[in-house]
Amino acid sequence: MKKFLALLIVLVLALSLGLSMASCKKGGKTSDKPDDSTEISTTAEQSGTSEKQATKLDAPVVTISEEGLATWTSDANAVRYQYKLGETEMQTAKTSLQLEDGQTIQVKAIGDGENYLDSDYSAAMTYTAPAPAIVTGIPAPAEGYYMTNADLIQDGETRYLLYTTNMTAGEDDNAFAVMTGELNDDEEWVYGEGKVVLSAGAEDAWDRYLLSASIVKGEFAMGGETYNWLLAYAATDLATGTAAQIGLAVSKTVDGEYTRVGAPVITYDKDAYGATMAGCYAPSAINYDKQSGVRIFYTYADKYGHFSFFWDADLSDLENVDGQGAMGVNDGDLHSGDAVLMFPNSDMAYDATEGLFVAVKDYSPSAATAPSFAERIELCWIDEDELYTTDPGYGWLSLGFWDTFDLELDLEYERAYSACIVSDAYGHMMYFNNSVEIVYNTCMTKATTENYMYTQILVSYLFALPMPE
Amino acid sequence: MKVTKKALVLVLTVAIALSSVCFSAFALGTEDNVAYPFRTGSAALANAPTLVSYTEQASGDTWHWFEAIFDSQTDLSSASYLAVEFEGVKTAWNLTFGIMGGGTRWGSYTDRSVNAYIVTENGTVTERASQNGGYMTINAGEKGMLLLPIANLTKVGWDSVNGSLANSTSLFIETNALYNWNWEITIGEIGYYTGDPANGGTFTKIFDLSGGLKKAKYSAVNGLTLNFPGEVDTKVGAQVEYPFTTGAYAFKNATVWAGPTSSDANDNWQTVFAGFDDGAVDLSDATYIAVQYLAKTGAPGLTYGIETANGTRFSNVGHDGDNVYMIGENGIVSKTGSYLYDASNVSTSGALLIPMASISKQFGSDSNLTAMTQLVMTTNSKYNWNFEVGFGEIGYYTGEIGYNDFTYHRLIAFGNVDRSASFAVTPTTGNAGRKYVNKIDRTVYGDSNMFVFGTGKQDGSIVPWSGGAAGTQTIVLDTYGDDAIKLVCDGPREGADAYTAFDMFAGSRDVTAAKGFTLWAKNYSDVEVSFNLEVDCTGIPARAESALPNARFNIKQGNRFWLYDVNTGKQTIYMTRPCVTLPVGFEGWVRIPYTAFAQAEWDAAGFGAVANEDFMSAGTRLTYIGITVYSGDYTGKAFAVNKLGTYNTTPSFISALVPMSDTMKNIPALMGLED
Repeated sequence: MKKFLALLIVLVLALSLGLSMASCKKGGKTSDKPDDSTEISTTAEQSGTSEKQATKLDAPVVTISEEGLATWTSDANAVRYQYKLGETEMQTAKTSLQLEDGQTIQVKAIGDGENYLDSDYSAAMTYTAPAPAIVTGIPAPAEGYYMTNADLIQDGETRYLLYTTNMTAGEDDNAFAVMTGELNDDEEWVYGEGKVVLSAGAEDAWDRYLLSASIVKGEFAMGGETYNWLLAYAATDLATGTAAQIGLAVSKTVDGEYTRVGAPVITYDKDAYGATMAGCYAPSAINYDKQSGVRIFYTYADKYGHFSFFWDADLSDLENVDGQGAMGVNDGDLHSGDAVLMFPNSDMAYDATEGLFVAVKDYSPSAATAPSFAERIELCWIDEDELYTTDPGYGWLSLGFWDTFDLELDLEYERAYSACIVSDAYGHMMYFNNSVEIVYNTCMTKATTENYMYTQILVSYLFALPMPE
Repeated sequence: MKVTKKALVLVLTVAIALSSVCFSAFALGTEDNVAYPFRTGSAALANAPTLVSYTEQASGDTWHWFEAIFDSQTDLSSASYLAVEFEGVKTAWNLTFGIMGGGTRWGSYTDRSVNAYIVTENGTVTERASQNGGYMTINAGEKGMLLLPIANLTKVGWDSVNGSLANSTSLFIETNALYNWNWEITIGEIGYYTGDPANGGTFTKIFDLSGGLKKAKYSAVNGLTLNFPGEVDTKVGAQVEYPFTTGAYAFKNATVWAGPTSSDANDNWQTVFAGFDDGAVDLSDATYIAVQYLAKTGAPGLTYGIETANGTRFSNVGHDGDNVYMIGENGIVSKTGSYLYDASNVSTSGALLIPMASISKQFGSDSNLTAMTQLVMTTNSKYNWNFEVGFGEIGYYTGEIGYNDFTYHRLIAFGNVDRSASFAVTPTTGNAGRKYVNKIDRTVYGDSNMFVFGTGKQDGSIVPWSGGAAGTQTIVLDTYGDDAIKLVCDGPREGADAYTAFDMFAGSRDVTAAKGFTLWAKNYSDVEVSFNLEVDCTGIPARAESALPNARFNIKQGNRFWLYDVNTGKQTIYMTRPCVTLPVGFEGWVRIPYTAFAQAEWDAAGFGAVANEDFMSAGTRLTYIGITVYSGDYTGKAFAVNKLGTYNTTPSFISALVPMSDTMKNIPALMGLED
């Protein structure tokens, strides 16, 4: 009997122990399963109610794209998210946010306060914008040739690159040529062969020596014909390339042969103002109303310096042109090494929506050694209304200022000059993901090669505009 | 029966023939409308006497008699109607109207089958039946023209004088106060018609009252009283369109005739000849010569004449007592004088009217006014000196000013440009007057106020600063014919500053409400010319405690300013390179904003820096403006300036892409240059 009793005690103990152990296992699993009745019972006993226990949400995982778009993991139980930028905390229902360069973000999921509790903040993530990439779609000229003074426009899905080049290798016999560019499958612009659209004028012509040009699309009538493309070009009858004037030529196709309109419309009196001065150069045409109302910005240079001018005309009838010119604004918070701020060799584009003109210009003074081109370029903009008054305004506001080192070019290329803004066919602004594309010239110096003139190439650069505050 | 029939036919034929004759002479009917030949309106009878009869019946035959003597003996033998201007004040019955012809009375003494007519001012015709004995009735309130058929007139029976209507001298009216009393009628001007008044008939005035009363031309006897109105010149008070320019600048650039500064002991005829633009002009139909006349100083006695190319002169000599008139700028005609000793003294300005009725031949061989070449005005410096009178436009009128159709014709155009070449001033002997152009500076051009002018200056009036480069100042004309200041740097002087400096303004003006300075300028050189404005500004806060409160500012390089070329019509924004820069060939208006100015370096170094914002700020005053030219670049490069002042509104650039609007205007719009 003692043996049975002892066995019974053992069994009871064993059963009790087993039950006890079973209870312990059950209790361990409860912490993983919120629907465990034992745990709920325990919780209920603690809160004094019959509700379930709230669950803390997991912290979101944040990633940042190259463009600065911060995204984080979505949680179905989160009612919204709270992000922290520096000392600022904001809430959003979205799972992304565009960051600026240098901004640090942390995100946490916000629960409903009943079933789900807020998560912790995610790990801090900081956006560092990538360095501007060099677009290498523009071809380099053949040896002995140069490409300079570009005007690049985009008409729909096609780009047209107008540039100045030499007709003969190793010579300075300028002509204007147009290359057509199309996007390939890799989203790269692929350009075809350059086609000469305007050659030097006759021996005694005012445009014997071509300098630079700009094209716009529109409607221009002459001699009973309607033309779709207008080319404003600077040229001179002096082999020195000075005392330039600006004339017009038209074509029915952008890369067709252009027909000269006649005498220059923007003139320079070399007898009065000096034959050794640059005169009127760097035309930048904008079809203001996208019909026939054209504004040509240009640089006027004499012994007092290089300054921005502009000229307006209705060019619907090229046989009756009555233009009106004025000096543009030449001040603002621009970089300059001159006693008086100058505005040389600029290209403009028009933002009709914002009422702005955007310009990219050479820095002044230019290099002291050959070639005496600028070493830096500057992007800036101005309120359109400031052009029409002499009342004080802000002037040109600088957006970016670069030399070749900033642009990560080969160190041999020490000049940055004669830039243009990639615009639409009318010379109006095009923004590429809030960036401005600039095409500029660079070349080697005489110290590097005696043939530095034939090292002039075109380079494209995409500049991300600062986010408005 | 045949004879009887024949006789009847003959009688009818004669009757028809007589009727035919009568109606060809008296074709007027009530359906007709006659162009009223006399003046109309309230002043029409202003110089006409009123015939006043006895107020009570006469006790016996009392023949009231009225007679008005024609201006000259007139042949009325071929006249169809005598025309008498009248107004009935109190109804008059049984009036006999008639004509004294060759000493014979021709009156409406017998009944006639043809009636007289009354024509109102609007030309309507009513019959006025002749009563027994040919008497006529004029009712109270009736006014117009009485047409008396000449054919109705017969010689008075007892008159033995064998006179003729070919020698008609006067109108008479008679009635017997025994039967007709307490009547009053006014009799005005008199004329006659030949032919049908309503259909091509010709009217000739033979008794003209337009020049005033003619008391000596009336006769009234046997108790008939003539009441004359106060002397009223019917031209006076007439409202006409003023023929010349008006306003403060009406006589700008008029030719002024300045008399000798001293008198002469003997007669010395000072004469101004004004040659007509088109050479010989037919003034036969002219009623007045009109002269845009400026009474500047004094009122010389002037004799007016017109001359032919041959020197034949027709003038007012011999017409003492005749009036001379003036149209004021308000268009009201007034009497401005009358001739005395063959001259009139005119002391007011306006459109001087010289009546051609008072112009007759003075000397010469030409007999008529068909080829007049110049107006001649003379005065005697024995009696008239130290006067200044001016002449602008000159013309003449045809027609009677202010009443009937009249037209102004131009003889010498003006348009406020210098026409002094058309006027020659000569004396008989050496003590001569002179002519000059009447310069008037316009001080306000729209939004601009000018205060520096070339007017009053002569060549060399502005002497360049002795411490600077050499320079010369002369007087030229600006775009508007006004004297402008031409400046040129003549080159550096040894030991002197490299700049030529000309003083332009010294004084004290508050120009703080303005936006900047403006001036007219012209580049006379073959290069772009640049000059600076040296401006003193006083009352600057930073200098308040200083012994030298002025601060010198001038224009700095690189600022934008405005140019409006009056020849090209182009306005542009230009850059100061380094100062006010005039392109080659520029002529027009310049605007330099205050913001283009900064304190001169030497001033800041010597007296302390002044903020640009203080320049012409509230409480400051402008005290000096000078113009400086750098001899290093601009020696021999002349330019002119004038009308220097300030502007109050910043212009806007205007182009094919930037249209003008209420808030965006260019310089000509702001200055009113296109008005």
